[in-house]
Amino acid sequence: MKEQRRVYPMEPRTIMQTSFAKTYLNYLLPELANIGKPASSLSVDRYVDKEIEKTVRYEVDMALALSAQGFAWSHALEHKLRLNVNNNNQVGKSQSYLSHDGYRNTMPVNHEPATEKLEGNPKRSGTEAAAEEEERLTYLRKLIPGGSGEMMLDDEILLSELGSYVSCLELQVNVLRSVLQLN
Amino acid sequence: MTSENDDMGLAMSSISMFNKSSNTSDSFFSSCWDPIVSQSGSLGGSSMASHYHLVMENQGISGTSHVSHYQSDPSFVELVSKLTGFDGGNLSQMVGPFSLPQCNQVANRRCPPNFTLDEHRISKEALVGTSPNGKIRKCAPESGSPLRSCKNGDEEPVMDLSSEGCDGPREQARKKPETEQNTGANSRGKQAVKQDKDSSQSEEAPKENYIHVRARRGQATNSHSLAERVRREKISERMRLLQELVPGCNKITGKAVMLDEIINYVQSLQQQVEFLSMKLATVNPEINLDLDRILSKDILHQRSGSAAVLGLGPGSNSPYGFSPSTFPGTISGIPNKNPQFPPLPQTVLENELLNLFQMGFSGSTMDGFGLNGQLKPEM
Repeated sequence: MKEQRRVYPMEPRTIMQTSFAKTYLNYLLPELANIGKPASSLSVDRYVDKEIEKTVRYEVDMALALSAQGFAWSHALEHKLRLNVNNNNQVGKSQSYLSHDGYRNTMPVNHEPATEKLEGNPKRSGTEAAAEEEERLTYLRKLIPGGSGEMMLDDEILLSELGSYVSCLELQVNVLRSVLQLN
Repeated sequence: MTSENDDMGLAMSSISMFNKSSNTSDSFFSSCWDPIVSQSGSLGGSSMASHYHLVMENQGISGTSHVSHYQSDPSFVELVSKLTGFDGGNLSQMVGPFSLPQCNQVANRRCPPNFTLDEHRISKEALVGTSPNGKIRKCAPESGSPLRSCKNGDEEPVMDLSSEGCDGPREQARKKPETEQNTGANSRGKQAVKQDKDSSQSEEAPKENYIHVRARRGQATNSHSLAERVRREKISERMRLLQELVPGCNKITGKAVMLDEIINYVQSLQQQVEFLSMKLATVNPEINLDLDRILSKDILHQRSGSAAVLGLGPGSNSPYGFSPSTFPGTISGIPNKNPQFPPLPQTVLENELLNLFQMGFSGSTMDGFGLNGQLKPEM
């Protein structure tokens, strides 16, 4: 075995990034290779393409869930993916764990103030703001996997989970982008 | 830059902290972080029995001998929580130690003496990272707080707290009575004393699982309102951390706007993932071939000794070389179904991954998201 000098940065952040990348790709690349094989013959069939898309998406999400274990959202994500796989084996539509495409583009933007509280009550803005915040928190609960679970009802936990989810999403995007740039 | 020194200090001390954590929290940590290592089926992350040491030995990974000297296994969750300030350990059963063999290698072989363990910073960040659910714990001493009463023996109680902090919802029931007990006693005792505006807190011995919160001067000492206040402060602390995470939110004041930004950011990230995954699907058949080619090219590069390229992101500190160990048992314990991959030595794959990061971070336009090298530029 040839000895290679490997150089690693000591920063915990980079350690986290590289370890995430390694885990992620170690899972994803072999899975992708397996997907790629049956489709190596040029298939112009749109149905098959959709299938491939769906499977790739599944693997991408599963890689994320497996690379970031220890969070409520990753657990929920994995659970949901496995459930979807069992239920939708024959369905050809492209499906991501973000199964709520309907409302994705509708952001709750509260332009008008609440109509009920029109008195010059100093608390009014407070309550409005609280209501707005609640609305947004509810929306965020839909965005994060497992957000509808009982654990996420606690705001603190929700915000923590959001933080880790955002970080891992960033990591995932970077890894995917890097892989695509290689080609 | 001081931030870099802090980072290095943080790295070293966080590694040494993980040392302790694995001792105290072996009973808590159930699943291994590394799903690859725990291929035996705990990929679901809910296996209760797979301790790091056992799994590593079972795998027969050659790095184990080095690893066993060095017990610390920084868990991914802990890393994320330390870096982002968020505690990911709310789901207590999910947190588990994982192996970073190369990381252990580094710490085992080379513990640079010129690093000073910045204990205060560690304890501060560790405290920020812990967020036990059920107890009234003010775990985040704000940086502006004049009182840092957690001085001696910081790391021990901190890590105990963190392990206990993952106790989860079953602690909820104990919340109320303890609160009243503590805050009542405190407010009674201290109300007469002139205090600073900031609330003071003190960490008791590890056996007590809560932090006493003193009532502020001129504020209600009702245990409910105190609990409310602590909770609000925790939430705002989290919001602040989120603000640092989401790029471009430094100037935003106001919770609702901040939440808007978070929503936008999460949605855009998810859309990016979707887009990239679709692209991946179209490109998929060619990926493996290219990787093979690139990896084989990289082998040549490695031989020529340009290993200095690795791991040097913008602003990263001077790397520490160490003689690598080979891991014939693949780091990736996932059974390798693809015949193309086994011939690749694992070390090359690791190097390649680091290179990927280099390319990914330096080469791509970041869409203004600031995903640049480090998740957050530490300036």
